[in-house]
Amino acid sequence: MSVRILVVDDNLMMRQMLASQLNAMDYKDVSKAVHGVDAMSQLIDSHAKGNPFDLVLLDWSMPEMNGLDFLVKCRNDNRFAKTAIVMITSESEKQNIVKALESGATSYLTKPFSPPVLQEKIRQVVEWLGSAKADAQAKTHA
Amino acid sequence: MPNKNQELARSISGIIRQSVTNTIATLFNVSVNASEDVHKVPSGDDFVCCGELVQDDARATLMFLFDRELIERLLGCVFSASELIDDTAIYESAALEIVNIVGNNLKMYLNVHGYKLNMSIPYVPDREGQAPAEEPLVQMTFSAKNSAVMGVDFYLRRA
Repeated sequence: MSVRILVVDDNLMMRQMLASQLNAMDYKDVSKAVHGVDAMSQLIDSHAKGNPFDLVLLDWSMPEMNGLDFLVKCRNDNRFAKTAIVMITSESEKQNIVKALESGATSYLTKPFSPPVLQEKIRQVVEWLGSAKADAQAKTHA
Repeated sequence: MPNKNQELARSISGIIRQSVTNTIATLFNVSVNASEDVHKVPSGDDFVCCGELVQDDARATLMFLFDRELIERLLGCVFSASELIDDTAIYESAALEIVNIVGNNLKMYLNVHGYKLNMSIPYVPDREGQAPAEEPLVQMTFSAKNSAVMGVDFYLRRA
């Protein structure tokens, strides 16, 4: 399954590192955003062009629009209600994980994580995306 | 018998040691060794980054001094030379991310032990006035293959 991924992190090294690791895992269609406002603009633009993102890797703590605000905004917008969103947060913020999942995050990662942990998380989410698409197609044909 | 400050310092140095070694091993696949040696004074070629943990009547500062050689070595493990062209910005962001993760681990420990501190976004201080005036509660040095080093100071002030 071809997957379009958007990495959202205000930290330059983390953006580059995640994008490089995803490329190495053979996910070649990876874009980067520096905060929630930038990410929202890229989501809207790609949707308008008929080439929407399938998965967003989203840092929690960012200036401009933080991860939670971005997540809530997406889930309140029909265009992005089904985009997979993986929230990245620090281990100390357990309450953030609960808030993120209650607000519609597909899954989460706690920092720091290694490339194998990222790979396994992406594999699970891509599998979930595949099932969600198959369900949607079945409903359309029913 | 150790006083409360000594006990706190010992616990905090344990958390810092574990968090720094785990963070660097996980992100960069590099092993670092910790010691409680006094580290060198920052030179113009080092990266200094701080994290602040604040509550009403207490403020903790976590100050990291990164040897440029260590940051270069860490980033060289995950990026190709062509990806490191904008080196200062990416080196600084690597330093800030390490401070962010270690600071949040420390916050989690201190929150459990009665300090309801919140962590602010890590920052690069001005060269002048970068260290708080008082002595650090904890001072540690980390090294990779005994050459590239990183100093970590932890300050705790109560009103």
